[in-house]
Amino acid sequence: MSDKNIPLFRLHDLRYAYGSQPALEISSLDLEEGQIHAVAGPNGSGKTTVLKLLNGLLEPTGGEILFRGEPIDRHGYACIRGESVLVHQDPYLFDGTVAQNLAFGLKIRKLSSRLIQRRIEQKLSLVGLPGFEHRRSRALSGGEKQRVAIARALALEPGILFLDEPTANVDTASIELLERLILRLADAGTTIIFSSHHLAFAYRLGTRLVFLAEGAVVPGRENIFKGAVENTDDRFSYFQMGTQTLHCPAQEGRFTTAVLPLNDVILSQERIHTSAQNQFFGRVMKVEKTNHTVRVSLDCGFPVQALITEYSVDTLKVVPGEQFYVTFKASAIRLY
Amino acid sequence: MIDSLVQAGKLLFSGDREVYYITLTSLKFSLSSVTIAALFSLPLGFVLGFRKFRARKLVIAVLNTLMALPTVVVGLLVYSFLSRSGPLGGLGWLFRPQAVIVGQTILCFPIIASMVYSALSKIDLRLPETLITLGASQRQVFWMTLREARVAIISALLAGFGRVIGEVGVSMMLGGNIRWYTRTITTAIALETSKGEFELGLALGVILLVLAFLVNLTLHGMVRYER
Amino acid sequence: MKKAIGIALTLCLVTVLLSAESGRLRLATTTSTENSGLLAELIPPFEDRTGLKVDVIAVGTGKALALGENGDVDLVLVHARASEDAFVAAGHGVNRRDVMHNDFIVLGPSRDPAGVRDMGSAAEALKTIADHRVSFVSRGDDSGTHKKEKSLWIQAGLSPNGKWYKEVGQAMGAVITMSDDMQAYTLADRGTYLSMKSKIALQVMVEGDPELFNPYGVIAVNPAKHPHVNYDGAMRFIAWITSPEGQNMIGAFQTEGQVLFYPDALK
Repeated sequence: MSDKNIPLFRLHDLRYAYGSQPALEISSLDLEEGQIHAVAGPNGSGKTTVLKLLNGLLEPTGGEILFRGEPIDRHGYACIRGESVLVHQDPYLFDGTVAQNLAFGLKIRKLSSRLIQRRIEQKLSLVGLPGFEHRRSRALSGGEKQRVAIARALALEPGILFLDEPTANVDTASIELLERLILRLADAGTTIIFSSHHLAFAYRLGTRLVFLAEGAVVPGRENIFKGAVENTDDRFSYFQMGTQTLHCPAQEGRFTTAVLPLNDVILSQERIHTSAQNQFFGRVMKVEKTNHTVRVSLDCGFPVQALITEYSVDTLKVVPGEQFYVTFKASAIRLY
Repeated sequence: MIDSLVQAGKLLFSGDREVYYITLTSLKFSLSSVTIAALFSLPLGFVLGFRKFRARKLVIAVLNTLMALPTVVVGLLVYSFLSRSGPLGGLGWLFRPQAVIVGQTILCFPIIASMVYSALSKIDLRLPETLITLGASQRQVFWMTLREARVAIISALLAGFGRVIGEVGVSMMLGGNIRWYTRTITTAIALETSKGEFELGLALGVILLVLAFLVNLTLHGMVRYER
Repeated sequence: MKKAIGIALTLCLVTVLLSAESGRLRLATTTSTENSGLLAELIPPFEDRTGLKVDVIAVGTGKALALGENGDVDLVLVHARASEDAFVAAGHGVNRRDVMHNDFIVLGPSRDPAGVRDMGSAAEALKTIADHRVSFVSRGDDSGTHKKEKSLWIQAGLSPNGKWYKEVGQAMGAVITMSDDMQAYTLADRGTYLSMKSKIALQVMVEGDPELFNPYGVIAVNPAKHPHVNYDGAMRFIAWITSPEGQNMIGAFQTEGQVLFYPDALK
């Protein structure tokens, strides 16, 4: 029974230290059900730690995790582990055949051997490795190993899938396969939480992004829009989001995500005529001050954030409810 | 030297009841001690290897120190406890197999525990994590991780066995070298040596080596069979 | 396969731990007494008649008495009169009885560099050995033999010291072997010597001096101090070895055609 209003995970003052080395300190973070959460950040920023804490492989040294609103205790960990599986970066496969690996978790849950076999076939097709049942795990390539590990996780049909650095150690063809797989799973309702230092991958797939640096959540400095490029001509690519269109630099390819830095968003009280191709009109929803810059959230038919100076906020009288023109250049947009 | 080998052979195959008896006694005492020590050190090694707690380094240091204890010292310490004038005298274990096994268990425990810990600390951490994430219970994780490290663990058990099968300080002090009861190969060797029967002592020593060798072979054979 | 081992180990543990305890009598004695083989003769008839199993724990004199003091054995059979008396006086033991005596001899290399062969007085022989600074091996372990040796030195009026005097802290058999190797003099009990005679070159230099007599005493551990001891069994054993039958057996015991022990209980 999932109440869409309660976040799947809520982290509160969560801390983790390896021995005496503090590794993670997240004061507040919510993860919703049914989304594809990308935890991005450089190596050592604590991404793997977060995933392991959420999957119950590590116990926090401080703070708490609420799973569907309930704080986690011994019993809670069993619940999480029953619903989720984590796939390691460079996963560990048991010595034996691919089928034996996939059957492992199913045998623990005491499924019938017929059902086990069917699941194995199903999941191996899903990851693009049909007929791999009898291959020996030690004889697989990096990409194949990872897909087998994912199939092994999927065999348990978890509602939540954790992927730690799924693009590391894996060739490009496998990455494309992985993307399609993740999207497919998300469509079917699985919550995906993955970590990556590969920003393009994170942007492309993630519907919610969390940035980590040195163990703490860093507020994002970019707007992330999901949509698709419907047309391209020699001047622009046109990124469609619902009824809105963004003008982007002309480029080839399939893109699902458009990224716009907060700094490149200009607010004005009047319509301005500039070289910028994108101009919208919207209402201020929230104004947050942080360290002499101000984060302004607006609704232009789609949510947009801008980062402007305090001075500008005072001069333009930027307050919730006021309406402004929102302008930005096509070249400020990166497509993924 | 050759004389002793010949004598050893003669002893073994002469069907001398007493030789068989002391050999069996040595084996019974040492196997029992290693088994009991293993029962404690496997979980301890597991906890040391996979759980981080503050006293961990201290426990490891203590184990390493205990390994250096001479057998006579262990014998003395246990004697002071099990003696009738000691706190545990009421158990009446002194000069019975129980006392020897207690002493030998104390002897081999530190070795087995620290080698098991070492073996487990080399296990790829991804294994227990993978097992947990796929839904294995604590017990299953414990046994499967042990299985993964079985070769190193067998070595640990053999090292423990080696320490006790050849020891004399504990057996002598706590068992009393009582004929047809607590006399082992090693205490018999000590006895014959004290009588000046050096060659007989050596011959018994050869038998001891053969015994240890056979135990080694058996355990290693088991591991290969498993694979 | 694993199950088989598991079962075997469990059986092992079980049989070992459930070994019978009742009806055992624990006797602490010295290594030389045990090694003489006398007890192997004396004990079986006793066991047959009483149904008791006698556990012989052979250690040094000091340790035997300590075991008695701690109540870890039921009776002691040693040959160190002064220590025995102190043991009883301190209340650790009761009913001390004379059992037998054997004798010590001075052994030495056949060429006899100190010239002590056939001397009548052991103390004098030792003094002569010291004066000539010829190698002498001592038990050095406070055993009955060692105590006797020390009393002889006192009689001789000197304290042995120097490279020629080697205190090795070993049992009698090892000491004899070492003395043989080193061609040194030593004090030994006749029993151990006889059992090794064929293997060594050492010869008897001095014997028969009454000072060399080595009396044995048997003492039951005081049940008032240690209520758990098998006092009844101890008294029965003492009765046995001091009975005419037991004493005859002691007197009849021979090694290498020689009588070792002289019964003293019924004088």
